[in-house]
Amino acid sequence: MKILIADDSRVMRQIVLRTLRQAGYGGHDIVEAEDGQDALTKVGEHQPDLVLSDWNMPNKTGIELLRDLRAQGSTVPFGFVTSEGSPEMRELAEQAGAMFLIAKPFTADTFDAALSGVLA
Amino acid sequence: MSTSLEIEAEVVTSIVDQVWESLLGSGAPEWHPDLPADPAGLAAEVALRGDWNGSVRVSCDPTTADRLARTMLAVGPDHPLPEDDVHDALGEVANVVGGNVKGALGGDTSLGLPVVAVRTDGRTPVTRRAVAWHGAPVVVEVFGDGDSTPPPTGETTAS
Repeated sequence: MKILIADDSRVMRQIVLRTLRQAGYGGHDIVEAEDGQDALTKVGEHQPDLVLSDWNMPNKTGIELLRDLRAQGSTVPFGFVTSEGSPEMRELAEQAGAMFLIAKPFTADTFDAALSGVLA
Repeated sequence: MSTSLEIEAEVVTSIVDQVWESLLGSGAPEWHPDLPADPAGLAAEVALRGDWNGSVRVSCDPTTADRLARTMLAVGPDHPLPEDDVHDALGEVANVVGGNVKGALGGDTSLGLPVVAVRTDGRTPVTRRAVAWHGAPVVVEVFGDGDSTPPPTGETTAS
């Protein structure tokens, strides 16, 4: 399977990748995107099986990315990995079609709980 | 204009504990000595705007910032590390602390992107937590409106 990680922080993309491995999801192909616009382009190019996206990014935010993908007809499974996990943001994410929202700081167990139904 | 939303020191302490554990894989023991004046210190700051106005700043000396980045990226001391990665790492710590401070405050507040610059002093924080990290302090501060000027612009944006 192929996972696209969208975050404007290279450091955080590496931490997400490392946490995926720690949670037992290390065998997948990874595509990295440095903001929402880059992610939108790369979803079209790489056809990932899952998108893990930050919320707060320059050029195009994570929620704008998700809405654009759905507006284009993409049904790619989508989850947020973000430093903000308020009930309002979780509701916004769900309404836009996100499967889950992982709030930073996170653990490998958090990832496993969110991904076990997606990448089983 | 800020409303009556408040952030308690104990909440910031708890947030810092969680962030250190998750991003750095360690506890966050208190730094007890006086904080040294460090004109070369690096600071990453994120602004909060809306029902509560202020900012969250994480600062330390450049050597400690380099060590934080190496820990977060899991690279050794011999691995070349660009300055951008050091700024990115410090900015991400501020971003995660800021996001959690925003959540603890409640209300309708937006979180800006981290800005990294040379630390400037002269403001009085609402709350401050100094963490001992490999023999040096890493200082986490929350500034409320009135104590806070907008984060510096024209510097590295990291998130």
